[in-house]
Amino acid sequence: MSYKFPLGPFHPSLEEGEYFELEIEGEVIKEVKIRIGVSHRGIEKLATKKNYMQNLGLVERVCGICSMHHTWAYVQSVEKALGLQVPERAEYIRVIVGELERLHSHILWFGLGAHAIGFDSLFMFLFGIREAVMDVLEAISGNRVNYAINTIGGTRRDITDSDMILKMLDELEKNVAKAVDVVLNDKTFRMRTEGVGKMTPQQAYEWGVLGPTLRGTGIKSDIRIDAPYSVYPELEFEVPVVDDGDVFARAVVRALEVLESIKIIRQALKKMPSGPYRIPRVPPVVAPAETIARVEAPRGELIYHLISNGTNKPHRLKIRTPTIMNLPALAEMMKGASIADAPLLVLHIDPCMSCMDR
Amino acid sequence: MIDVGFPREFLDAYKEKMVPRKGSEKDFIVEVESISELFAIIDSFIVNKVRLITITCYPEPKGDRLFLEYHFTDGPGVISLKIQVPDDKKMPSLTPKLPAAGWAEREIMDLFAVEFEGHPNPARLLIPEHVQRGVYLRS
Repeated sequence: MSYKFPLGPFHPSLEEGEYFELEIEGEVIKEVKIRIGVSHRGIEKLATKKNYMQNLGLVERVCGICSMHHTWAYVQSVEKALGLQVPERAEYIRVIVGELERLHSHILWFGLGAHAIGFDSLFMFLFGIREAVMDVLEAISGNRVNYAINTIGGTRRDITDSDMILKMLDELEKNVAKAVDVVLNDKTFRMRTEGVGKMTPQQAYEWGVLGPTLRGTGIKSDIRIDAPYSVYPELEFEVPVVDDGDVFARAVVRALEVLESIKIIRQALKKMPSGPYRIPRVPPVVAPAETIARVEAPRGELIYHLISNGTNKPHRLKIRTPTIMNLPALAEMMKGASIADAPLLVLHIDPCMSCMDR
Repeated sequence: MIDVGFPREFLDAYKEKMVPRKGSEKDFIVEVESISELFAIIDSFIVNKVRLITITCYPEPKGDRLFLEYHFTDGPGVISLKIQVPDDKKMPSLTPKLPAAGWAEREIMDLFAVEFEGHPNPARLLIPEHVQRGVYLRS
């Protein structure tokens, strides 16, 4: 006898609202139905009613955690359509803020993951060290969440105090090392995560899985390496890949990515040239063109498809966020798992629900 | 490890039809004439493990015709297969062959009222049950 278990749209273990209907036999999940759209705001349509500058503020608010990557992809698509060459310093500032965002996003994910398995002391510790990153972001941009750092043709603010960032990174590296040690060696953590949410590379391909969720199944795929944008080709870093394809593998991938991001920011601060960080004047009207821009957001590949029509407003702006590919794949991963693992499984792909609903 | 790449036969046959996208060297648009041609190309992509990014639906800038763009990537480059939606707004579904297309197609059904025939689960995805499909077509 199977019965239905509703998880969401508003559930204590879900950070954002989305409806999961689990069909359960005993304690085993047999079928998962996901209903999204709880926070659908029609942003793609709204973008066609605003001009290119106003849309910066709009796309920034697609997502609260990866807001910088959304504007990054957006300004890239507009800059491509306009044929603009962005000052090099601006590209370095974008990389630094982008990687700081990846840092705080991954640490947030770790904290929530720890909370989901009931490891609340780790959760408190991680959210504590995350605040240091948030403080640096606030010092750079003036904002904690929607940084508004990008603008068409550069960035809105300069980075003047690199010592502050370096000091924070030194401290953070030590703290993250402690957390990585827990992830790798803590028996409780391994017992809750190993062998849970298995996915094979073939399944990952069929469902179009992205980001750390994909790299946790042994496929090396990262837009920063595959289709390099900005100044990533100038920087040296590794893309961690783990073969096991379970929650534990994805946790290790994210833990190692945090350390790689620290490495990238240090290099970028060192290599950042002096000079202007934005183009003073940008034409308001974009000639008809079709451009796409891909960036590696903390959760995976983010793509913006812009169709301009010779006016000051886009004709169509298609946004494909990583979660919309990872979430249907999650329904596959959840089959056969225990109901007790359901909150952990939902959280482990780092879902960004409002990102996905747009 | 899976070897990924656009099929050589496709790249040779469509050399002339590949229109480069503005601002990117490795991204191309390929306009295809018929649904059977589109699905033949996609079949060869699936064999080579070329990943589906998403499907964009958009009305033409001046006029009522709808277009679909199926974006595929081998990692470095993106090839977008562009096709006009037939007048009856019915397209065959790609989902039975490639589950990754499932939600992209459901989204287009909600927002642009294009019907994907043969979709295993054509239920509403983003909009509530009582709202008529095609919300992005209304202004």
